[in-house]
Amino acid sequence: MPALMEVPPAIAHLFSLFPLHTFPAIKPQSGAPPRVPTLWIQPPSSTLRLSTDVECLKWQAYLALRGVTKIALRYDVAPEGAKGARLPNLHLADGELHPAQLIPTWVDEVLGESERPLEGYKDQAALDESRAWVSLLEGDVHAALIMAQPSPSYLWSLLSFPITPSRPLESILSPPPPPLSGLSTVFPIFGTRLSPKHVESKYCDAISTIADRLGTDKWFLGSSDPTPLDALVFAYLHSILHNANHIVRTEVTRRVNLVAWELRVRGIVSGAFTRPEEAVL
Amino acid sequence: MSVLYIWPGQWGLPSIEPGSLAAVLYLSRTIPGQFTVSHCTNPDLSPSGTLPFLRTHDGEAWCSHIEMNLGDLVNYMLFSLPENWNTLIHPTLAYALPVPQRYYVPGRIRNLRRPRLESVGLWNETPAETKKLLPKRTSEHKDKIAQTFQRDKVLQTARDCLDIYQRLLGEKQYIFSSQMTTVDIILAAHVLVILKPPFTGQIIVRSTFGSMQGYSMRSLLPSLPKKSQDDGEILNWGWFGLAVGSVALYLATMGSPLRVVVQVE
Repeated sequence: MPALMEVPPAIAHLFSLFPLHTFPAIKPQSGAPPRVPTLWIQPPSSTLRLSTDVECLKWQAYLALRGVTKIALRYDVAPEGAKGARLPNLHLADGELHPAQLIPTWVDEVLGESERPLEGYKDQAALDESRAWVSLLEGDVHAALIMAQPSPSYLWSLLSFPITPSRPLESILSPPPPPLSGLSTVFPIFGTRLSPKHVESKYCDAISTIADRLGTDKWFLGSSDPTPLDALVFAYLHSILHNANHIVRTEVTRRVNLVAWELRVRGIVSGAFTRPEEAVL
Repeated sequence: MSVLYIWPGQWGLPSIEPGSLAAVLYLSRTIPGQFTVSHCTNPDLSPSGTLPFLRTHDGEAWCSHIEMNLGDLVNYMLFSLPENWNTLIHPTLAYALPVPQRYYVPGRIRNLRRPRLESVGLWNETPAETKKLLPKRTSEHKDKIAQTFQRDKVLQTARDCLDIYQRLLGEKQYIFSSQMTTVDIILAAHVLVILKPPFTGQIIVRSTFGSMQGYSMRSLLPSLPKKSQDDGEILNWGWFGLAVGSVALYLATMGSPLRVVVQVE
């Protein structure tokens, strides 16, 4: 067999003119596991350690409201490098990397609690109602938040790689928005026809309903302890108040109880995370 | 039922504060019997910090839940399942459209639902769209596994939705009060689109929602439009009869203007 595989001398001489150089393997940047559990999130704003991304902030709030402390933060990982190509991820001291949906299970293990009956809500009706509020927040409110984001300039869109958002507007709105070119045209359809007034009006109704429902309760739906719905509501309120444009922000600032509630919960959430330099890179 | 919180009343008035009094008078004229009044002396209960304020039921949230969760299920049954799309929905849409729209608009309508259904894992590509990069047996086996998982997910979603709505409805006729509200209409509309079409695929979803048929029909029946008579045809015959009658009356009174003259030589 080796005799059959021998390269002819002329070709071997030709190949020798182009030597093959093998570079050493590039080790992953994460390297050794962190000393403390570390949450990978989108970069926070400059003054607070709260992520600018709603999904990451939701899980930050969930961990803080469940009473889990000493969680480090890491925001130098791009979403493409995270498990499931979506942030947040939780990097544990034993080297395991959990996607977001496994965080509640980890929290139950850390706190030594079995799965909470009714997820912490006061009764079955409140648990069912929480599903409705989640739909409202992730639908109408999220759509308004996306539309309120400033669109990148034409020059920046030419220079940067096209980034597909994890949740484009067409996958949030139900029923889906029609195409800009119309449905019946004989030419290929393009674009999306969105009515900003319609989205804004649904958003205003949603915020009004949320404010009415909260009233002066300590936690949403009258729960005695914080629930996952409180984490989600806080994530959206904080993003609206600090990262959205003035039209969207004004609707929440008119509601005194929402502003006061967000301020109180922000103090709890931001105090639950260690300083960034304690995370192991 | 909505609750209007106002300052207490005195001297025969519902409220001593003009704004609260105006709110009571206004609602009494616009939605009588559909709200209750609660006297309150704590303006801090209000989201804006002032009285009066109206606390309504959580219709907005439930409408959103129905449109997102049950709406995904309806779109899956109508547009995603190949057996329902190819044999029922596509022909129905095509025959409702004129030529040439019937050849390309149904496909576009289906593709509009694709981003939403893909994001929730309920999208099925029709066999013509599937790129066959793998050997046939392997791809068919993987497709079957994916379809089985998807159908289990659909069934679980249907049961979860049904449980929530049945608990919400309870023994009542309608969800929030003795009268139909927007939430009842939207829920009935989604359930009827699942129950009424003769689907051939995932019929277990239809049987899951069969228990809500009575509730949905209660919402549907008062809204069915009465069949309008074809008045146009009667009018046409009427005008024709009037024209013929006028000619006959003229000939009878004035005599025929036509005379037949025969020249005899």
